[in-house]
Amino acid sequence: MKTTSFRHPVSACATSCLALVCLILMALAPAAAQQSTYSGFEPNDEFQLEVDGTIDTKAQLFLQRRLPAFLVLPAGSNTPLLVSIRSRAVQSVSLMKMTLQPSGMMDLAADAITGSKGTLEQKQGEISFLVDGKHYELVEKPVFEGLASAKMLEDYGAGYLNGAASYEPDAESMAAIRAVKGKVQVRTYFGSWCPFCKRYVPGMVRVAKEIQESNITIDFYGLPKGISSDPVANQARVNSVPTGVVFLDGKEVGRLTQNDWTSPEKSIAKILKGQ
Amino acid sequence: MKVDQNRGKVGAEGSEPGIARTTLGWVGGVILGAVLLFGAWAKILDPSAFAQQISSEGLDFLVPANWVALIALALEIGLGVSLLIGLRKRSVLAASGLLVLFFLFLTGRAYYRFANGIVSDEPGCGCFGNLVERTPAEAFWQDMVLLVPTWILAVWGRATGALKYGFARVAVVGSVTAAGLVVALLSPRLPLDDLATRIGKGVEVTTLCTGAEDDRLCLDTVAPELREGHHLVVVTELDTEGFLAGVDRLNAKAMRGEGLMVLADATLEASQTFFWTYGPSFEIREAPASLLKPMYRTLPRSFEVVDGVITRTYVGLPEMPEAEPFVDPFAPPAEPSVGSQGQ
Repeated sequence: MKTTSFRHPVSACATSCLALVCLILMALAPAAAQQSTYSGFEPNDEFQLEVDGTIDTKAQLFLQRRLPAFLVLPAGSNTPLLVSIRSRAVQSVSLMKMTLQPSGMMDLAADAITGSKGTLEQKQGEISFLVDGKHYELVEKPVFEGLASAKMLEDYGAGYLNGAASYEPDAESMAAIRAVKGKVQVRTYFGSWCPFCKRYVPGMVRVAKEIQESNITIDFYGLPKGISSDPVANQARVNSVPTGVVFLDGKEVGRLTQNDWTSPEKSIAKILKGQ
Repeated sequence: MKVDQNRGKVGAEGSEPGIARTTLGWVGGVILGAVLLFGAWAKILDPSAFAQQISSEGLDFLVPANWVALIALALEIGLGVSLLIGLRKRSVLAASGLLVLFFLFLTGRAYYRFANGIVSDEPGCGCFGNLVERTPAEAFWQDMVLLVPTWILAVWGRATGALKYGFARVAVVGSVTAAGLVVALLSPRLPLDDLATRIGKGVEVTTLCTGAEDDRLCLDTVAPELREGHHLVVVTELDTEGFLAGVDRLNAKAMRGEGLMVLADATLEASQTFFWTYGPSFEIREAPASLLKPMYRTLPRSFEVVDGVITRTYVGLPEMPEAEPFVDPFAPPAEPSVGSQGQ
């Protein structure tokens, strides 16, 4: 009579393999849990933190757009806060579970939360929350107004800094601009409140930095909201932002508007070429 | 001796024009009629946009804009068909002349306003609805070139003799006008969005533009990401009911990392309020109304873009799987509920 046996060579091999796989998975499981992070917290320059009615100028704000959630690092506090917009939760975060990337982005481990700190309150366009007896509010950053250099814009907002760093100007156009004889000045009128400017002005910031130490000056002029009633905008005949005005030897030779901003250096080169 | 009764009548008005002149007159009438009918067709496809334009032009001071739109449409169709089938009676030509003058007044006024900076973001005249992209200058000069010479030809080459099948022609005009009005009334409920807008399969995003010369702005400048990859683009206003009802599903799509872009002519304040209220996982991209309007009849409207080319369009939002309830990945574990037992 035939009997089945667990000692069948194939069954034994399969059992051993299964056990081995299980052991490997068990060994990897904690590591996988530790590696579970939420990346993509990018420095945010649209808002600033107000604590008990005073602007915390040294506070750092990061925004993960997909969640979406703010990571708030108040100055002088060892307790960062995670402010989740959709779940309206405010939670404290372990500093040890945060990793700042060379790109300036912050990563957060999934087990970074150390405790609940309350809920968000929304009043029209701004939000506030109460944590440990302190009243926090995320308020819109003041509009940048007046004349600025590329460096000043990079200092004003991380968006300009990171946007400029990631923009790659067209080498041929840059060479063409540098080769122009005469004094070239480009003034970019922009609004720090304007989404289109946020997307495209960093490209011009990069061009301005690349073109330093030449006979070309590129500067920026921040306009307030409602530019149609602004005297500076009216004097410069600027009715939309961003608008770049190109001067050659003190005389206006062209403007960068709308589609020109996809590649500002190409547009400048084209204007200077007289096309 | 036989006397031609008709000749006798014609003679009373003047001599009958020659064959060349009547042919030119017929050609002028046909072209003018065709232009009027094309304009009417664009309005039939999107009558609410036409009514909106009438309202924005301030032409609804006596009668509500919807009624003005309907009357104007009836006139345009009636005159267009009349000219097309050679019904060039004095009354038809006089009314056509007045209509041509009225169009020139509207486009001329828009051109003057735009040229003098009175209206900074003036879209081209909507006389051809969303079908044709025209700047104010183009609208004026095209109307001038297309309408004035053809009208002059139609008048100059008018045969003054008795019209054959006069009653039948009038019946055709009446029938087509009535049919046009019926289609206009039904069209918002008909699937004519691709016909009525500039969005359609095979259209490149680089060709969806507004403005001219320095003010030209194209969709791929507003959203350069669309040039590559697969994206779903939603055109909406941020308080549109159909869009708000789909926010959860759109969030789920964005969370899965699928390409999604929402275009809205929204102020920064409106975008921020939407952000704080709904916590969207997708970005709201601001775009001017003049760029967005030719893309839809009703909001929201969506389309898929693959490597810069539209591959599919939707009225409203596309079918998307029902979104799972949102789970905050950082939320602390729920505390066990107490107090529910023994109730």
